[in-house]
Amino acid sequence: MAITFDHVNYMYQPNSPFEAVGLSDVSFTVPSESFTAIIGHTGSGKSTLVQHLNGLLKPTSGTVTVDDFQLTAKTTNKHLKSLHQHVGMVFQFPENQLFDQTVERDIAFGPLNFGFTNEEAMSLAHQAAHDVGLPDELLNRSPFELSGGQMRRVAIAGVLASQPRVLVLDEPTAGLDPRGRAEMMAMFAKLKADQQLTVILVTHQMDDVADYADQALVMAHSNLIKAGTPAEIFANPEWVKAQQLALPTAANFAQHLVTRGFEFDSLPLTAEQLAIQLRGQLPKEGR
Amino acid sequence: MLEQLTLGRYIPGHSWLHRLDPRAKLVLACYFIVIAFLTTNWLTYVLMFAFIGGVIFLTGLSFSYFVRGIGPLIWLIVFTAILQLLFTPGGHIYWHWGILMITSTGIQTSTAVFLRFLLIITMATVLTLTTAPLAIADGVEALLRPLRVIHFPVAQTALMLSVALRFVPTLLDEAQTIMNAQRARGVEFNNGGLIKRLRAIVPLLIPLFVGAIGRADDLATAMESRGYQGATNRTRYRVLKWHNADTIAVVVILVLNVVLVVLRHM
Amino acid sequence: MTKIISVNDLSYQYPDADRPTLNHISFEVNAGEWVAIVGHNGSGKSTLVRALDGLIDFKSGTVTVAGTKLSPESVWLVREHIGMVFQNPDNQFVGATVADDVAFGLENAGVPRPEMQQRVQDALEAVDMWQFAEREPSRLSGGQKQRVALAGIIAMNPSIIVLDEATSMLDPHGRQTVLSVLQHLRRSNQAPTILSITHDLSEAAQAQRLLVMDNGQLISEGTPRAIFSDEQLLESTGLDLPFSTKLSQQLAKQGLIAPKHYLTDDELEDWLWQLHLTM
Repeated sequence: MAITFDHVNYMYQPNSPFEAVGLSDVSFTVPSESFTAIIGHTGSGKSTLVQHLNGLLKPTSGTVTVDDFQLTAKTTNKHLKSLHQHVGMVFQFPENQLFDQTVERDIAFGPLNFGFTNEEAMSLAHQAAHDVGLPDELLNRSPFELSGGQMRRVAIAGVLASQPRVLVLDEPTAGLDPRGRAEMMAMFAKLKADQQLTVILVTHQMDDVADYADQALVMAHSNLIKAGTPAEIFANPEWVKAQQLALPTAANFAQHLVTRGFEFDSLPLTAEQLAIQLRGQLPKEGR
Repeated sequence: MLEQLTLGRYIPGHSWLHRLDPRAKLVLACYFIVIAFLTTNWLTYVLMFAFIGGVIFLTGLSFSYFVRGIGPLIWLIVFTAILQLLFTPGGHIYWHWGILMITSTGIQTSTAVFLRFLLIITMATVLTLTTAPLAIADGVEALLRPLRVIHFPVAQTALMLSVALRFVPTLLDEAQTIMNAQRARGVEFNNGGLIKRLRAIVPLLIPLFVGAIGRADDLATAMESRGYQGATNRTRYRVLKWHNADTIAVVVILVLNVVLVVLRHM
Repeated sequence: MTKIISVNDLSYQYPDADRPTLNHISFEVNAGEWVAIVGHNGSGKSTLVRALDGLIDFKSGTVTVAGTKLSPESVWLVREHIGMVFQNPDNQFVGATVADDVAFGLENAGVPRPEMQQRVQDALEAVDMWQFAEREPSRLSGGQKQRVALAGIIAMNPSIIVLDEATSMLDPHGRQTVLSVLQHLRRSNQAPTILSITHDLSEAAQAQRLLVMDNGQLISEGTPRAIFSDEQLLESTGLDLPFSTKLSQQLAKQGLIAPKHYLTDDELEDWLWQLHLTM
């Protein structure tokens, strides 16, 4: 599903002493089945932006288009349900939303709300549990008995079970250990490929942007200040630093190498790209 | 609707009222509420409304903000007044049906209830808008201090109150996040009949409680690691200071009281 | 070197758990040392540091902190020596404002008010948060809250600071500010012993020694260099590989000469430069 923001503005608590700008004239397009990263430091408007993707917030002015659904200030709540179903949201620390008595019922909660029959919902729940790598024997346990990492998978399955076409991930790996992080990112990549999902990832991990994203949006002070491929975003390291953002580890290392006389056609963003660009600049093994 | 409600909310500022000692503000607000019941004739109401108008002016906040803020509560006030109107016997009877009636006394009392209620709510709003929750807690503690004589745990209560206030915004944020997450999973919080709405609250309340218990557990651990062994033998970082302005405020409200009593008999 | 922490054969099992969370753990920490504890989530790291502070009621083994053996009688004395910063910035913020929170420990210790005011200010200045003294926690970022938590500890001047994944919920900027406060503190007169739990390799690299935990056991200890060289150990305990190692692997994959043993990022940079000069 393609997504378009057309001059979207959002104002928090308008006409009160607490009035604050949430989004200021944001326009961009996300192609269907692409992987888009949203970066920017805390309070830059990232969360406000993603809450527009499924109508949790409605623009004060401007239009958000998701496939053929148009979200404007006038959209009534009744019409939001299909948008909620088609755009799945995994919030930060999603395990905090678990509530039901068993893992199975918690995962089936979304599908039941969206009007699937009990039988369909259970079958979708089992499929989603399988997709996120939860063993069957956990399905009848209470979600509160599981480990932190397992609880997070239950919560993600609870979003996937409603069969969204767009998956919005707000720092989905926060608080996990390195192996957990790597496994979870690999899982999202696989889900995207298997289910032809459009993925939107809010993250502070520039290495994940380099490894997974097709395009990135940079937010600052409620504005979209740059959009492009990761290579375009990180092409100017001075600009990146001025935005208080980091470079991917490999790009940072490559920067150091440049001061030592190495040359790169474009700034390498991953260890693999860096090694490839070092061919010809370093001796071969066994020579 | 609730976003507009101003009662219970604090707006940081530096107005004369903001800077008053919370003990003074608490006592004066209570005093005002008590003397609001001394109103009898239109002169006394004019006096009280003029006074509260002056107080609103001193908050430095716009008048329309108060009007809109009290708006959501106006129906509660009207409802109470209507009950008074329909159930008060006495005087000339204009209309009656079963136990319901409209009488001249009823009109008088319901008008009085309506106006007094309005005065009280406005004053309470002024208090919370200009006084940080923590300052209110400090003020309450100071005013409760004499109760230590009867072994009331004033210090514990004050710390409990201050910690509770400190977690209100945190829990509100969390409630908002959970609501968003469940709405994204198809829950409709503002739709359907009473039963449906009550059922929609379960997926909000359970995670909120589980989260709050986890936080309480963490907080208790952190407090213990920082040497908290109960509220005895602690010193206090925060102390309240009484200024001349506080004395002036007390004098002003005493004058108001006297004028009010005089006007009552005119 | 004086030992400031000695743990001897410590075991602990949570009441409803089916296996011990801490399994016969022994180690020592020297005064002034920076030790990092690494291991995947659920390996027992948090439980271990909580045991040091008497926050876990263990039955088997002994813990000695600054010469005092931990017991129900000595627990408050031991806690005076240890300042702890926990993972969740929100859940350890006791005070209604920044200054109140920093003062909390001082209030508990019965410090007189004039001295308390001075110590609160000094501690907040040390973490660069004095200008936020009157702020409420809901208006602070995670990194700022953790710096306030550190200030609350600095104000108490403990000889040991324990960080229980104190940076894991922060964004990179917040993490950096917290780490720079720690580095600054290490160079100050206070120079506390630091015991930090972390998943972040760049954070672990700053420690003098690493303790590796897995499944409730201490399975390895050594310098960051020694631990980072052991790829198998890193992978089996769910840790990340250092970037230099990842790049070395990729160089080998491209048929280029790769270092035969572990180098830090800086050393790899030098090594590549030397090699480049021969071209």
